[in-house]
Amino acid sequence: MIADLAASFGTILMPHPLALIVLGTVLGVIVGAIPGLNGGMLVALSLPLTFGWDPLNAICLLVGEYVGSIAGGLVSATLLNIPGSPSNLMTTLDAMPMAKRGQATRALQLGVVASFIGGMVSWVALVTLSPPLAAFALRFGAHEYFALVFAAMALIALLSNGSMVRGLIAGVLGILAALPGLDPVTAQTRLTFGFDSMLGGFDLLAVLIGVFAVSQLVADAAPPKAVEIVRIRSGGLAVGLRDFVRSWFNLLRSSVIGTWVGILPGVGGSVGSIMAYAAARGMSRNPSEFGKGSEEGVLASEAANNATIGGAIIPMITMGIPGSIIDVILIAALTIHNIRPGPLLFDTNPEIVYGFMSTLLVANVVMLVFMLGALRFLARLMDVPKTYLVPVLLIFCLIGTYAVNNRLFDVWTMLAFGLIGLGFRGLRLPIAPFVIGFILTPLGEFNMRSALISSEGNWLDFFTRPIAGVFMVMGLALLAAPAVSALVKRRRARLAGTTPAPDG
Amino acid sequence: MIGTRAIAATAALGGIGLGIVVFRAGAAVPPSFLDSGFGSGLLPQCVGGALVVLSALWLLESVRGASVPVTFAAREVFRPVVLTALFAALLVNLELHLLPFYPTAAAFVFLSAVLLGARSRRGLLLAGLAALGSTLLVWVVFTQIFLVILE
Repeated sequence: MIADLAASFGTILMPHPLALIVLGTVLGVIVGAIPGLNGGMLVALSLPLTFGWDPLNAICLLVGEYVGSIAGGLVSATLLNIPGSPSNLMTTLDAMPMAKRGQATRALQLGVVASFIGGMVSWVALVTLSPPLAAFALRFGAHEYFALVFAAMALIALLSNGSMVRGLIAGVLGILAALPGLDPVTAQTRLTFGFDSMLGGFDLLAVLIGVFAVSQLVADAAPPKAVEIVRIRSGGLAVGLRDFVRSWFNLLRSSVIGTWVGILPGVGGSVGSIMAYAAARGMSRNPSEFGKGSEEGVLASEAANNATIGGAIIPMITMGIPGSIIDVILIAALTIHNIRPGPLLFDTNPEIVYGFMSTLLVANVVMLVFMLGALRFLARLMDVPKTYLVPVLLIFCLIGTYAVNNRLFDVWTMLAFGLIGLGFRGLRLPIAPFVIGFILTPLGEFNMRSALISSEGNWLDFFTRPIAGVFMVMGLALLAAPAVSALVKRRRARLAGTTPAPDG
Repeated sequence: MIGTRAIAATAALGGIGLGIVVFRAGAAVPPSFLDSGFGSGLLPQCVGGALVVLSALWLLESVRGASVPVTFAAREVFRPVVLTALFAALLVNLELHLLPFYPTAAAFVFLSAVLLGARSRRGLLLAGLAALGSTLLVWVVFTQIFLVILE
């Protein structure tokens, strides 16, 4: 494995792949720093460009964009009090107060180095955990894959922001969006309503660009709210090694939390940074400082959110289950290049597996160097007017989507799902269950029906096979958890003679 | 301010309607000898049924006020609605081959920039440059490099 990893480094450190990593990371940081634009949009828009590329080069660009966009969100979180991505939400609580008292540069540099450390810890996890996890996943058959998808979707719905009902609705709508077209087992047409264009279903790229890019761009057209921009007064290094050595435990703990949260399907950076922030505040000697400019808060949040990247890649390459919503787009990228992520990837395309590992490390280094060197430039990005960006990016969305199959139907699909994504934002429906439901449904349905064919229609096999049984019980428990929790609360309140507070 | 719970309730009712449509569409799929306990139409029926039930629960949440309210002012939706209409008009033009694509794309970028606030002389100039520059870039990249022809 070490030899393969070393060989991979040798490949991606060649001029062309290295240039793509640098380009992707820099673009990701820039896009992540501009409020109203996000990494998902950038990665989705970059997909059509990579069609004719070598898959490894595509990974170099897309992973670079992924790493850069999560880290870049720190800039707007610090200077505008607007998180560049949901992962940077907790950073705003302390970075902005630090900036207001004249420590903007210090806050940014602390965040950048913490992001790097989080990224490196999750890289170690990616390298050490992926091979044994892939070996374990090789024991999966159709029953196990369906049970895993079922548990993953139950978890995503449970952990979505807002009520579980809305999370489940989003997941069910995602499943629904994946159904039209030809049945994967019998090739019967369903839900096409007589339209020939629907025989192939909704194109994956059109849906992703619509949901991630078009919905965001149309939402950005609304009049901007007045925001205060804090300016960076001084350049130069405002942090030292001592600042990180004395916070080593906070950094390590936050990185580990972020990595483990990243492994959970569909959960992503925001939950990781929230949990790490809460842990840091709980174990801090100065908890009252949190929310008022605590450096520990900035370190915890930024280490965790970048740590989720490596963690999220683990289930993607070992089991084909996306660890975050940007991983959904990475799966789409592999699919477009006829590469199926999963345990067999280690045998069929090891260069892709080690390509992810080596690219992640190099992208983290590029992110650190670029952000530390270009903080003043990044601060200027806060002034970029969206007036000209939004329409230009919409044209790029149109062209990129059309270029996939040369079909206008795909462009209409993109617009429709863009409006659906917009509707989700307005109605506070979470996006993650929707996109993950969309991408996991073909895998789940195919495996479920294959399993039933092999077991001659016996549903009990999903529970009697050990691994499948564990996942099925886990999924059912996750679905039942909120109802059970509410019942227990009501019972306790009745015993105590009080009225329980409503959930959600 | 535009509706709050009313919008969420309307969406929930829409979900119920959609669920019924999907359920019936799934029921219309004929059985196959390969079905083995789960036919082609059964998943759409399950999804449709789940959507009806979940939407009904969401409707209850909205009516009882337990949902997070949807709140936005009419002026906040004006620009997104008009931008969407302009974009849809561009697509209709492409579908019906009314006018050449690249000039209409440039016009879309210019009009959208004006809609989003480019109304001063400098703004109009920048909008025009953005329209011409982006359209030229797209023309070069997609027709000369990727050989994608839209018309």
